Amino acid sequence: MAQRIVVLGGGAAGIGAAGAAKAVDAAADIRVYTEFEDVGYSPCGIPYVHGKEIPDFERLFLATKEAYAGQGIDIHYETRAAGFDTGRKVVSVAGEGEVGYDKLIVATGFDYADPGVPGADLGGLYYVKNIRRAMEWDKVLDGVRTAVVVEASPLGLEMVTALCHRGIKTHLIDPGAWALSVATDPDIVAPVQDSWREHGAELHFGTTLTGFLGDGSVRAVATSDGEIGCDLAVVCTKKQANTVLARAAGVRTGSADGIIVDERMHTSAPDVWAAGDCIEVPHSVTDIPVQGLSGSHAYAQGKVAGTNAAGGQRAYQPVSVPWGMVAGDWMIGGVSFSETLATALGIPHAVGVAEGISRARYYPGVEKVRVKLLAEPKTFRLIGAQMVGREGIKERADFLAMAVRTGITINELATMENVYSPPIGALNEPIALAAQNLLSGLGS
Amino acid sequence: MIAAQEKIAAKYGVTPPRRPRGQEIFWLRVYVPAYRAVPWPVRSAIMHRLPGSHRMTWTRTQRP
Repeated sequence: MAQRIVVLGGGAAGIGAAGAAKAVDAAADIRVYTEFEDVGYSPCGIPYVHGKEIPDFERLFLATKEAYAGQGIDIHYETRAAGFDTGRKVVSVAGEGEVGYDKLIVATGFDYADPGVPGADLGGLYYVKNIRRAMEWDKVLDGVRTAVVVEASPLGLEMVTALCHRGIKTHLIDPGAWALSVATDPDIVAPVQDSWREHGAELHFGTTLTGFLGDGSVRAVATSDGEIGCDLAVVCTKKQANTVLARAAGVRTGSADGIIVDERMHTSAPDVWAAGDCIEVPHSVTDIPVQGLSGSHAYAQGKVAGTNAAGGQRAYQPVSVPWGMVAGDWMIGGVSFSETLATALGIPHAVGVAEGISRARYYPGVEKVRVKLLAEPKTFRLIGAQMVGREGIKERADFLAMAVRTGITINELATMENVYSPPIGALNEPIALAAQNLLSGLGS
Repeated sequence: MIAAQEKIAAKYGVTPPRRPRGQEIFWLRVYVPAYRAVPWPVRSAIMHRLPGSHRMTWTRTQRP
């Protein structure tokens, strides 16, 4: 008899898990339960449709519902799982009763942190997540003149950029001293902030949200520095692991508030796997668990969970967390620790900074690339990097993530070979220059 | 984070975070100095003892 694998959640992790499980065991009965109308689309693309860089939402869908059905993946849309019992191996599903499983994969994703202020139930508060709601909000945006983005999180940066592109007067409020103040340092994000101001955005750092004001729908955001009138507030608070069902079932969670998993994405409960934003995984530098990573992490974790749940063998690695985005007129990115975060945690570090160029100095379109590297002062091992420029940021972040994961040292980066081709690469690689400057600073 | 932002803001000559209020004053004036007095290896060891995925089986990439 075919084994039944039930997946809770139809996001990147859930769909990745379902597809991987089917690839390992084609005969398996694979059921996905999602409370939403769709699966298999890219929510990360939503800000770019709002910003009009992408012309329509349809392009964000990766496959049709018929395609999943054709693959033998039975997706139950708009169907909420109310709980699961790991002893009896059943899931309680609204409208279907108890559904038995042989293997269960929990991919319940995240919820935005509750702003915890009065007025959070007003209309006009936009939480970017579901594509159908995003389609509705996109029409609302046509009539919005002023918007407030709450918190300079990665999504917050993307939404400020999108709303500016849309021609909407945009305010950003954040209690930090600069944008993305956990992951970045002020010298890296300064060009981004300058470009937002050039686009008419007003940035309110050191400003705490105290409430949403309005009668039915938001008309202003109350802050520690006064009220800001608006037609819309985009709430971009921290992504918190949605572990409600897992906790209720007795599945263990950890110090980062995510479901505890091992390298096979197996949880503390027998025959239960988990993946995506609802889990925590160890960081490759500190070995401390982290939670709330990117869609690429969720999808890869889903693949691992699905493969193992179906009877295959696949392992996930501790993460170095490469990141990058377009913000304002710039690309920013990095990996692991910023100077600010390393300072906050008290991790000893040395810093090297360099400003290089993206192409040969004489080639049209050449742009500056600022690179900052962090290394352990004793071992010279790379533990973090940040970059800002107009091209070539993502590729450098990916490369540096592998360098962090494999324990590459600053000495090695200082003597790295690099591609030299006038249209795509300069004589001196900015990463190597930053490494050389770091070593010079240490007197090596 | 506020204490770290103060330090980094001073280094780069940018606007520091807002002044601490209420309970933040305790955390900044008492907790942060005490936290910084503990060496990183000790702090790290304490964090490792907390429950989490890091205490499960994970195979690290090994350099040849």
